[in-house]
Amino acid sequence: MLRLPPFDYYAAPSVEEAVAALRDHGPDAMVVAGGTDLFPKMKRRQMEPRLLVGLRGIRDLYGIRRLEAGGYRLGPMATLTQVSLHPELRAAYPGLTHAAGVVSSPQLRNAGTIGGNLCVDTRCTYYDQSYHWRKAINFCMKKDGEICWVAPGSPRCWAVSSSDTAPVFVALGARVRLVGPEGERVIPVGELYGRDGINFLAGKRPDEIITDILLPPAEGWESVYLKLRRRGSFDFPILGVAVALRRREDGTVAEARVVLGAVESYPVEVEEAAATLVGHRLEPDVIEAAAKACFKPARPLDNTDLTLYYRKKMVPVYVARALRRLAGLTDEAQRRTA
Amino acid sequence: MTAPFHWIGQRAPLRDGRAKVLGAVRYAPDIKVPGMLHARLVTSPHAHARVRGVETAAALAVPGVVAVLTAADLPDVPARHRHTLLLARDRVIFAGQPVALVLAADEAAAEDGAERVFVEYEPLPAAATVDEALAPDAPLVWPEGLPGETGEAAAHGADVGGEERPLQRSNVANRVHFSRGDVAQGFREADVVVERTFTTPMVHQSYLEPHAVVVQPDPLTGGATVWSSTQAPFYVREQVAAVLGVPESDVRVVATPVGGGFGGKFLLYEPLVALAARAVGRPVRFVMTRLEEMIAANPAAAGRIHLRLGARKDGTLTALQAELTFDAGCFPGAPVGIAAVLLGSLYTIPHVDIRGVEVLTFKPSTGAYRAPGAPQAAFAIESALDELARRLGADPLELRLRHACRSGDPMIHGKPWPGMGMAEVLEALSRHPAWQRRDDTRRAGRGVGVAIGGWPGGTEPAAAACTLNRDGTLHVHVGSVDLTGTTTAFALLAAEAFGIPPDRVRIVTGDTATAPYAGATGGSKITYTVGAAVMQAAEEARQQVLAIAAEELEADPADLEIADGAVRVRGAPDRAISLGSIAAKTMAFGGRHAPVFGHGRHAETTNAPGFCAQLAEVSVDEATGQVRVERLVVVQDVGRAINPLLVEGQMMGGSLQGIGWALHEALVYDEAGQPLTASWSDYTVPHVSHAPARLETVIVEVPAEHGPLGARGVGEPPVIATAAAVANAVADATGVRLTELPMTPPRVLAALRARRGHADG
Repeated sequence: MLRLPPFDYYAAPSVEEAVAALRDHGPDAMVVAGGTDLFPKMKRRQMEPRLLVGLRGIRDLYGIRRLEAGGYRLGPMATLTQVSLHPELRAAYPGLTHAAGVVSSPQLRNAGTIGGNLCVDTRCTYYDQSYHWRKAINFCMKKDGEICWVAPGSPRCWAVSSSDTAPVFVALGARVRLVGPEGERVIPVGELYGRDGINFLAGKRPDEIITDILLPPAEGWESVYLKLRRRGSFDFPILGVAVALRRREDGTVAEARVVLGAVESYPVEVEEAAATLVGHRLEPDVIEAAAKACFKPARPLDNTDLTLYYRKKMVPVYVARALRRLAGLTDEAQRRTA
Repeated sequence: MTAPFHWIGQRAPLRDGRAKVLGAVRYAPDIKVPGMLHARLVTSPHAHARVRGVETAAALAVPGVVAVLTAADLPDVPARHRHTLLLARDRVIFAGQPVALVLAADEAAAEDGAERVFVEYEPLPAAATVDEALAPDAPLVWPEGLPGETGEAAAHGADVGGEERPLQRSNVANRVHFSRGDVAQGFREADVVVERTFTTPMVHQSYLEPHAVVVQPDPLTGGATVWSSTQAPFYVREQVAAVLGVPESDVRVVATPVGGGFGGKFLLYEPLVALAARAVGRPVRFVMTRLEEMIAANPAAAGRIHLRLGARKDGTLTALQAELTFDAGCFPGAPVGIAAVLLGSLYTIPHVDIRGVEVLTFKPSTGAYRAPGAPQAAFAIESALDELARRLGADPLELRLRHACRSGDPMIHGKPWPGMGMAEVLEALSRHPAWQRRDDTRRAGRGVGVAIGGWPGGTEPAAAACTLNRDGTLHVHVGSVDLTGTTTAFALLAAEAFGIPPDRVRIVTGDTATAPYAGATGGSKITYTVGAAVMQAAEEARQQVLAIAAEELEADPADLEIADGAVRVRGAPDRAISLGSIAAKTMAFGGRHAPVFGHGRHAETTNAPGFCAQLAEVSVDEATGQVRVERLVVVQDVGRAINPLLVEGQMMGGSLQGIGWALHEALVYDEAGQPLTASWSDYTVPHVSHAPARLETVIVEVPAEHGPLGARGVGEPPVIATAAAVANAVADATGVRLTELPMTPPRVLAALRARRGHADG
């Protein structure tokens, strides 16, 4: 059995008190929501907070509701299961509910939260191992060590952004409200993420808490998410493709966002792919061009399941399949691509 | 006894199924003994290193930690086997090797203590692959000479002869060579030759329940009682007694219900835990973590098979040449011999030359896994034969049938095949709609592949006893561990032999102090050997009951029958005495009848080979390389299906493990011998979602001459052919031949791209 290290647990009664605790304890403190990512990582000593600030008791952080001005507000403590099964969300943001429904396994979706999935730690073969294992290779720069084993000359950490829902939120243009000691602010989801695998949540100060996830009105928007992984359950994404777009009545694309997950330390929005789509109908040659545009910006390395060459090759395949699905061009093989 | 039977052939649910579903079965980790300590290993992070020192003070300071044992605290037992490697003395030879053992009042303290044991290592160069280990200047796993051979392979019937001992010190543990005819001549006669190298990785048995053992030392004798999740209680007794230096009779081994074994649970840490318990004079419980299972257990050996297969234009096989290189890990015992024999013995080929070498590497030692050696061999020969059929334009099933060995044909080691049903199984598959309508399947874009695998079967002496209770029920006493539903089968066999319904029969599985002898549950031999003893015991009990009844009823025993829980005179049902009354008369003060006690003893030495052919239908996503097994037809000769329900369960379970071999599973190590698949996140066992939508079983019954009612072993054969059948189906669907397991999407995609003439990145 792997053992949790000793820590204090503070059941924060309100956002203000949670934020105060984070401010007072600095880097010794961490927030815990569902704990499905954090607790195993604490057992493996990938994270060693002295104080956990539990959000479970803060009523304001729960719930999914339609906003008067249109769109939805998701409480960050809504579970992945709640998001994935929510009938209105399923109708309005199918890419998001699908992404929430393919995270890990049913048990973990029942415990894991949507806010937690936005903040899920980056992953790497050399990092997601027991303490014993990491010690055997003298650790890596993400925790306890000096170098990046996957790119030994690199000054940065290349651990992989592994959230299924983050690419979809970015594609949908969602925003998050952050509350910290100095007040609150609202930023696009994409701005949460930094550009390396260690400081991957650079857009959020450590003493800030996500209190709301705000989805813009869905009217006219379509969305889809496809996930590559070895097995149909349990596994983290080794590629995620999120597409959101709006079509005019004549079928031409008015607006589009194409976002890749698990190919970098952050969700990668490929504007060139979106530009390829805008003004055109979703016809095979347009789809091919958009898919091709995603090949170069995807920069997987040899630090998660299956080979990097394979994962890179799969980028255009999965982007094309995502777009074909929206275009109604789905065939048998694609139907199976989850 | 002849058909029709009353109970044999009924679909009887697993006897302990309800208890398992309800969580009422007590497994080894559930055993609690007063005063019990919990053990945790401190394992080496290096594949090869000198151990400079072990610092235990910090661990001993953890509240609850009672002792930290190192090699210095244990007797200097020679490391003849992996299970007597105990704790590293001065050198470690795989990453995961135990160096110290922490004993504490609870698991948490043991874990905390293990974290605080500091070992000083001097890392040494390690050879992690067979090629590195065979290099002239390779570091030696055993520079002082090879340890003794292992017992597990022999227990699986792998004692196949043909051995040539190595002449010089190297990492070569064993060589085998079998030949027939003149292989050079055979290839001169060939018009078509297929030449390929097939590789299979180390894979893990991946039982749900980890290894678990509790040892209570006996201060009076120096012996111990051992509760273990083991397939081989009598073997555990022998080996624990040996390290404790006590007579076997002073060690009592209780085999707890096994939550999955598949060959991986013969014997591993029982001797170490027994020594630890003795060292501290308290009971010790050791339950492995999944991490320890992945790095410090005994997975299946990796294999590389270079093979040439030649045939004339008319489809006559002329020559087979193969070189097998098995990666044994750090101890000898990889099943290269049995793989070589199976490879060379399936088909009648006049000219054969097969050489095998077993190579030691700085990795965990390997053990048995369901039909050890056979999936590796079948993947090679059955893939090559399929390719040959394609090149010849021949029907792959017909080509197999034409050359399939029959009973009495010589195996490659010269001994004849015992009675077996390879041809019957192939014929049954050829009649199956999935084969008959294969062209429809192909038109739908799927590939169809077939393959066959065989297992020689095992034998071992076994005994059983049968007693009659006052409530008219039978107790049947056996010493075998039930992995596959053998207990349920025994109840049917005893019921049939004695003449009462199976629900009136209880199978009592004893421990090594109380049970009649039975060999380890491995090699597909329990129903075949213990089952025969059970039938004998029940039959003898029946004769004793009839004799008592004859006296009581003043009738000729020949006129008596057992029916409705009583012994009756045939044709005069009012002249009857209940079975309970008979038992009561043998258990009464002053009674004049001796108690009913039937016994069976059995030492069959003729094997009963089991063959299983499979047909796989696959779809291949050519853009992603993802292979999906849509349908699997599993056709197996079981001799006689004592209990078709559980026979089918074995056929399904085995073939699903075969899908793991085919598409998913591999233990991966880096160049330094560091395990990269140390959890079930990284080691990808198949999910229920990988089961084919259609999984069909066809039972073939070619009676085994010496099996109980013709039964032959069932457990091992169904895992053997799956990977080859899937590979052949992929070749059928795409024209691409995969030679490396598992057939992961990157490998399939690379092969598809090579087919298209693209360079692959």
